[in-house]
Amino acid sequence: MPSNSPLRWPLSDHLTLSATEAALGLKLVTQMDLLKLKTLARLHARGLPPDVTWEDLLQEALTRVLTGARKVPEGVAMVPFLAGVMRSLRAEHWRRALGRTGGRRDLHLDQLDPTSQHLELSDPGPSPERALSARQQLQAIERLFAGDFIALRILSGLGEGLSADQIRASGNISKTDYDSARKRMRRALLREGLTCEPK
Amino acid sequence: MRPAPPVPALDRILDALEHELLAASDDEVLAAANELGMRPDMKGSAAFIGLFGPVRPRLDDFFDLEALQAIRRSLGQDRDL
Repeated sequence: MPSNSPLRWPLSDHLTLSATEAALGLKLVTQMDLLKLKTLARLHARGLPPDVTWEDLLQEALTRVLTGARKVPEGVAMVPFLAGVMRSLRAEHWRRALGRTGGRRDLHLDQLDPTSQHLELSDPGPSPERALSARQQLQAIERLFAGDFIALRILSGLGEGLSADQIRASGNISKTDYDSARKRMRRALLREGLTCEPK
Repeated sequence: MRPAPPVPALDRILDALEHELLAASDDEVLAAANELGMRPDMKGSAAFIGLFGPVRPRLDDFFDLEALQAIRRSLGQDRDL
């Protein structure tokens, strides 16, 4: 290849531009947005298998926006939109994983044997591996707020699907204490999300 | 009280914590970074670790894999390209 060729081997960095760099270059996101997205990606990667990293989630979400596969609705800010894409990527991962293991099968009405006394349905619930991983992640999240009784109470309530009012009522937590705990939780999440230590 | 099953509990908690992070102001992000000794305003700050850097090139970045598969099929499965 002639030395004045624009192409070089190995390929120059601009040919392996990451989606993050492209999005930043196109001013779709700011550096501050990226820091928030990093914390969000690290959160959403919790419980996913080790081969699906937070970097993968974020790059994939940005790539979908850059390629036009996901269009940002007018009036929606980029960070919440990308957080939603990462959330759906997480859900998509688990749907596929469930499909691969055959954990979920559609049963059509015409497949039912009317003479049969028994109806066998496959278990649509999570696999034991996923349940174990989820339990470990719950423990890891609890460790983030270790010693903060109110934060742990809030966490437990959130896990049970309770609303803020229900959590406050069941835990006898004042609004001021609740809001302060949320602030502490946010700070702990940001600190954890900005690091690159193992989850 | 019986604890909630782990998978739906984790999903609910992650969704709720996502809202918390989305509600964080720029000042809160900077404060958290400063607590960690990070200076996001400086070039190469540790806060950006994992966000930039070379991406491992994949074969389909350079080749149309579907076309290659089609050619391979047309030549027979045992032929390598």
